[in-house]
Amino acid sequence: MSADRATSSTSPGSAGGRLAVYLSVVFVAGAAVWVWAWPHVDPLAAVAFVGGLALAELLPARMRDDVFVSLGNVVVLMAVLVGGPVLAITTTLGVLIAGRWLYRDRVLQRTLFNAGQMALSAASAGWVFVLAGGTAGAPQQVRSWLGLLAGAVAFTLVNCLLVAVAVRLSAGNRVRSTVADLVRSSSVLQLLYAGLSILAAALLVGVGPEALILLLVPALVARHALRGFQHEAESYDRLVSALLKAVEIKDGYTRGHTDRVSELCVEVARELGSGYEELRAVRYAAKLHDVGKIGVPISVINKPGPLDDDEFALIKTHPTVGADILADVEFLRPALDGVRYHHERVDGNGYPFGVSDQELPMVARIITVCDAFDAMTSSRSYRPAMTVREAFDELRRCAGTQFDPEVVRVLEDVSARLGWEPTYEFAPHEERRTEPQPVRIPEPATVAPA
Amino acid sequence: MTRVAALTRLRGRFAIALAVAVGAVATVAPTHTSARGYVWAFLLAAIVGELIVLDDVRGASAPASVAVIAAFALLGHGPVAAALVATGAWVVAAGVRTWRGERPDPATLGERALAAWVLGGAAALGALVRPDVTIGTDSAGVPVAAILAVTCGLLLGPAVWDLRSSSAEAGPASRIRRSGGVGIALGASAALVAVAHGLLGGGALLLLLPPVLAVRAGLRRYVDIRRTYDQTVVAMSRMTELTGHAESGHGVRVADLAVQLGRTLGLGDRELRSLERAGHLHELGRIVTDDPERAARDREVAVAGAAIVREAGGMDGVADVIERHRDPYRAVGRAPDRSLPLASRIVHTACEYDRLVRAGGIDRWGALDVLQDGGAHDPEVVSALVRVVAG
Repeated sequence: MSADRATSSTSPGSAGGRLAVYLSVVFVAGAAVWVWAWPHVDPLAAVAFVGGLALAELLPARMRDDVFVSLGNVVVLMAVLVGGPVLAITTTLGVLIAGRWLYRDRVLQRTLFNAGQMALSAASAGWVFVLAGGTAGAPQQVRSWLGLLAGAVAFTLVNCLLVAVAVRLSAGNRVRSTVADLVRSSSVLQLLYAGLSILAAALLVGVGPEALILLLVPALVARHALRGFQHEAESYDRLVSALLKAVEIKDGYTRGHTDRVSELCVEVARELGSGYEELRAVRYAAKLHDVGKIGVPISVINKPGPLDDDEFALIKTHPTVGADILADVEFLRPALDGVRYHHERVDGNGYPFGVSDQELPMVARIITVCDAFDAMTSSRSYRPAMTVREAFDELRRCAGTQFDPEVVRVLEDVSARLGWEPTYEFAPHEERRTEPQPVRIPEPATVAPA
Repeated sequence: MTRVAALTRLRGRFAIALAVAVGAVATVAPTHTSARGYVWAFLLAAIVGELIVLDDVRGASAPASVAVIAAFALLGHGPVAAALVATGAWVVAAGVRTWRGERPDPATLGERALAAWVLGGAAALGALVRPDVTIGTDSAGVPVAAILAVTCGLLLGPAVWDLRSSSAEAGPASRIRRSGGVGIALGASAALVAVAHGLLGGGALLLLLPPVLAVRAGLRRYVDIRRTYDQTVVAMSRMTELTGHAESGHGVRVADLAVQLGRTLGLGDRELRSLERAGHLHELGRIVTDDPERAARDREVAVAGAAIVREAGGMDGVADVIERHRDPYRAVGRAPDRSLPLASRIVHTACEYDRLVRAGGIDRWGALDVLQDGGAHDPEVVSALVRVVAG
């Protein structure tokens, strides 16, 4: 659910003065609606729903890297159907309980903000439900269903807006793009939540609380699967880094380099409008773009001086070998051409194929530019790192012949936004040539966004 | 092995006999129907459900129509009507599948009709035992429906799947474990619809969508990332082959053979999975021991490969297997090494067999003779290999 986005973004360290004021205001506003709702609520139902929400908040699962699923929203929407705005508002006290006493979240400010913004979101959902003609306690009526759908939309919008402002104040992202991002990533889920809450409320009112167990079973199975996914996704990342490590043993630079190139490529691709699945493919393809170097002898890769024709012919094979290695990994397919063509040029003079401007896919252009940019802004044994400004002068000079001008322009925006700085690596090449071993590389020099 | 297979086949026949008996008894018994209407709604929902397939990581796979048909049966329509709805839905969905260019598996028609028949029969018998309880209008119907549906999801699925000889290797217990998630979720959803039917009528079927889609989305994520992981492991094994460090296709062949040997030797699902990965990755060390001046020795490769795999984390079992897969079972003049993991012995034998047959220019039987000589290979693994190669 979207509220968890705020928990990850609003770290205490970045909480400036304006952020602190904003978080407090949201909490106080939330507290005000609690106080308003309290005298009107049925105490027994309130206790049950608060407990239910606290439990649901304890069982979140990650659906994608950026989307959390939690049944908390279902409990709040159910409360809207069963007891109207009053019960819905009171229910959100469960967030406070879950955060403060069950999660033992140490950042009080974050817990309070999350509880406050949930109270305000629940209030708007409840009021819109009533305005749209829904009747509390009658979840089997079609009018209530429509009212709930309207309420769910209001819930999502208020929720995303409150979180987006917090993200704006703590990380500087634009409110509009954050809201759009949040709404896009959670709208299908919200529809699912609305459906589930109608079903649950109808069962609760029509049959009794024991019927909810039947609903909990599929939910737990889904959660179990998502937990398995999360676990597996983490071990997948480790597998990829082990693979990279194997390549790195040959080529002392790749490690930090591939991570940075991957980060830049994802940001550029995002600016150019790629969706989630494509970004995921780009992220891993950019990390793995030099995997083919495994087929080139160490002596050639680490040769400090100019290469002769035979050696260059060997180097030329690495994009093709890399693409062949990765060919059967299905999810990489949208970005596989990025590996295959990452040494091609827009004027057709690149290697290994010399493809023309029209044939060169966007992902390859992105990887080529980001790869070159990071190579220029990292120190090598035979030359120091360029500054970011010098690197862009060079990229612009070669735009239209070697590089795609559009991608260079976008990368310049991205680099400015991330506050990119050159990386200094220390790897005396004498040592690398005789005994190839992993080189300690400082963390990528990304500073916190201004 | 043959004894177990025979038992499973027997169990399958028993399941059919039981199913037919339950259905037959229920057919002649007076039907106790709480909702005669909505048959068309159920049929439509079953058709749609037939096209929404839930796949589990453990290999179980079931369409959402199972839940619709089970709900229909639980509402007391009797075995004949339930089986008819199941058949009708399957036929229409098969038409859609064929139009889409897929090939529907006729065996699933039998499974579905049989499951519907038994469920309808069980519900009808249940209504005979407790005529006072009506699922769908009574709150007391909830536990009855839940127990029926979950039991059927758990037991009936595996019993029916036993009929297919292709999956006869695993025992019934592991079959239940495999179908667990999907079976329970669909069973509970069926009970849910049956219970909500009294309140919401045909609309209850619409509300089946959220839980089923939620489960499907969760399972799909899990299945996808698993597949991605496995594909990447294969890519890593091809990495050594494409770069000329190992013979083309060696990793895949060794993994397949190792899994067959492991299955013959009675290893469980989890062990087979790590055995498969070890098979794919056992030559991985070649990419780092690659040195033109010095031919890397096999045991060095094994240790180097294990180090890379260990770096990945989450596959420590696999790393251990790879690390020792080149250790001889019995060094000259010594007793067999008891500490050597069975999986390492299996990978060792599978790898050596593949090398002998592919590159050694020996035929299969000659290769087996070579493996039987000396003490490098575990005689038990070699005799399993003889059985696999012969069969």
